[in-house]
Amino acid sequence: MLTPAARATVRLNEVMYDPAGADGGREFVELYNAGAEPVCLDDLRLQFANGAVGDVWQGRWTGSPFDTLAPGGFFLVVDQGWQGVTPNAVASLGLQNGPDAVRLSLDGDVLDLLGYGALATVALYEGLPHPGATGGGSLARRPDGHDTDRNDADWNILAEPTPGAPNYPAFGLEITSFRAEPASQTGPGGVVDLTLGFVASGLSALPAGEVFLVDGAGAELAAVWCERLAPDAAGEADFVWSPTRRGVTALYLSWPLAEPGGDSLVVSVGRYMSGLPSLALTEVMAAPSAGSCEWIEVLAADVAPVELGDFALCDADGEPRSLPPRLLAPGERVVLVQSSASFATWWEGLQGSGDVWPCPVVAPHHYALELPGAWPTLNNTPPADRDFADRVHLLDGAGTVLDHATVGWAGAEVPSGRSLERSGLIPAGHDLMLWRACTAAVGSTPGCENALEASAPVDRPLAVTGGEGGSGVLFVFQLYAREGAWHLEIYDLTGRRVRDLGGDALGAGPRRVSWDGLDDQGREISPEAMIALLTVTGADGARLRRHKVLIVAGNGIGP
Amino acid sequence: MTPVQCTVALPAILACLWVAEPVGGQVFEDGWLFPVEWTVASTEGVAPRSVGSWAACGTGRLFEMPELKQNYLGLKTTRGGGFVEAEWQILGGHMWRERLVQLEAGWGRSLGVSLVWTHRGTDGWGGAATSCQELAPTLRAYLGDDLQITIRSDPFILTRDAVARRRSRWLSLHGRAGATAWALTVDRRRDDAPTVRVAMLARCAPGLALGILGEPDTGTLGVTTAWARGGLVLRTSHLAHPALGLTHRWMLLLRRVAG
Repeated sequence: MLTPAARATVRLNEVMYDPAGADGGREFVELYNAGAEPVCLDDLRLQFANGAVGDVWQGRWTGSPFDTLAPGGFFLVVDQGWQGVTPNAVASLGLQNGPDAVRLSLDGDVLDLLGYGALATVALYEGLPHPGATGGGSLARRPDGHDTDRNDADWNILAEPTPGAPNYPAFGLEITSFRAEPASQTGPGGVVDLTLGFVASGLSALPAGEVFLVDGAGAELAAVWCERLAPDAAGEADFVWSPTRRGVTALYLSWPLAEPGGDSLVVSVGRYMSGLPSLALTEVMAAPSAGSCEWIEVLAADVAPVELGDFALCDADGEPRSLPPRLLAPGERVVLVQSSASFATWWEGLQGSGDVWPCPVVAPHHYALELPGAWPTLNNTPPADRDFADRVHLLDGAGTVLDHATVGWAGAEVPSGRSLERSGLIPAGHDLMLWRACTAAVGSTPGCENALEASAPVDRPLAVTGGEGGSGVLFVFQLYAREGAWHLEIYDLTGRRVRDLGGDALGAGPRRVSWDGLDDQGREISPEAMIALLTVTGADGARLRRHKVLIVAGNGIGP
Repeated sequence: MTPVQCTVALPAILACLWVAEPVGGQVFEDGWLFPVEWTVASTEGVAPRSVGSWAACGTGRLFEMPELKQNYLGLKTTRGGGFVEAEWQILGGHMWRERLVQLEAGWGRSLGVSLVWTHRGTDGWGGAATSCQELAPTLRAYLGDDLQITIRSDPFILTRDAVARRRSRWLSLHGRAGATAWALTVDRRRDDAPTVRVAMLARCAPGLALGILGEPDTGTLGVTTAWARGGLVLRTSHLAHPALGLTHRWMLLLRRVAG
């Protein structure tokens, strides 16, 4: 039997009534003993009321003489089919998703009551009902057992439920913002100004002291002094850090809880890219001329093919948009356009304008892709709270900023109709040094080498990858200004030509040429090494360059 | 060539129209078309059959491509009328390789027979390694010291994966007139059409020979050199392909010198 004192100490502590996915087997009610004595739960009743019906209570579970609850302990009642932590009791809970209520009662006395949702019946809540949990979270007291008889104040939404365990840790830190300037680096050596916003989410204050930015191996990257942070208080820390290695670095905040050498609270804060990603931003048209549209050019900068669909784009204030699926050969560029029709119209207009056109004379549908979903419209005027108009972020699947382009630095705005070009793929310090206005006469160079890039050297002048659909060989290469024609041939290792893949005399622009693995007579070639020979000539027919690549034909390919 | 020699050579050529020498394209010897014995003989002014035992190493690069390095090791020992010859060649690099190991044992003076075991395999690029083992009887006929005809019959296939064969030999003839040696090979291309290659090597001075090599089918033309001093011979090959560029090969050979 419960003693009178115990009646006041057993409480509802955490309630999960609307878990993510199906409710069956995932609902639970956690009880807590806030007193100093053990309590026997014999005949204690857990009851449920449907808010649409009113003050009508249905029994869900009744304690037995063998159910006890130690001081400060938890008693977990779960729904049938539960597969989580070991419960203390299993019942058919059948909690509805609100507005509803649960309560503990004994001998007709209500020991505790939680009402959630827009309840009209006063008997179904204490004080005011809690608005209700969303997104698969539970309702939980903070701290455990804290009760002022106001459901709306005593209960919090817990995004990560803690059945059978304390609802909130003694020490906790929630990262609320992560701002890095620059947002990414094309190589180590530069300085990163990292600003973190956070809230103390634990039950105890975080002590004042030196706080560290560390990597995944625990190595200290930077340190700042932080004042004592009371529970629920917000804070901010500015770290100055200079990456020393290429690639993505996972970053953590380490907040010592005691004397040096003691325990620390370590939380993940984000990831930072220092180095050239496999897919790089190379040109941005943020202020198109009338009749055109915004577009963003990206380049497969790695030596291996790159799947475009593995990346996403966003502007400074927007949500990431996944890029369309397409396998890019090394060195291949594609232009992500706001509107294919507008882009094509603008391009066709330029062809007849008489301007010197440094880009492909092949149609833009070879390299222009429309971004699925809403276009991340780019600002051209800096808002009050920053020095630049907008920023294009290229993200990986984990949301890491792999590359970025800053549009419209105050005092360095790019005129309308002119693109912002990357001057190279090497580290170049500040964004203003790396990105500049395109110098081409027509204002931009979508789909081909940037006007600011050196015309030579070219890292992979003849890139090779698997053919469309996984068969054959696909060659990708680029003709540049002053180059008029190309011719591609396949030779075996004896030096005999086995296939003439032809060419064209259409001038500068990207080319994608497929080879089906057959010789000139249409016969399949047995697996062996071959040499692909690309010959590029000028408009006058003079040979300008030749490139040879070893491939394996007939049984897959290799670059 | 004397009428007697022609009488023997012509039937041999006809016979070679239906037998094939199982040699893949771009074996190391393709740089000269002459066997080691003929190069040494032409450079030093001795009979090919008197060259005897030797050991050699070589290296090369096809079409100026770093991915197509070629290395070679060879050894031949003779005793009485018999000989044993071993060769190891590798073409390619870490991304793709083709290996060739060849062992030949034979006997006979004016008319000799031998048995050639060949293992050829490729690997690289993540694909499954392939290999091929063959056994082929070979017939060699010497007409004096001035003409050699080599015929290797269709091989017996011991094991075979899909290993490419770019070129198979129909006929090889080697001869000399005075200080000039010549070589002629008729190969079968992958499309079964014949392709001819010719080479000449002339002794310019004691221990020094210069030669040319031509392959009309691919337009390849080049020069070869040979220097001999004591038992040491250095021979080089420099072939120019009209589209793919230069192929260089070097071979250093040490041979046993009698007396």
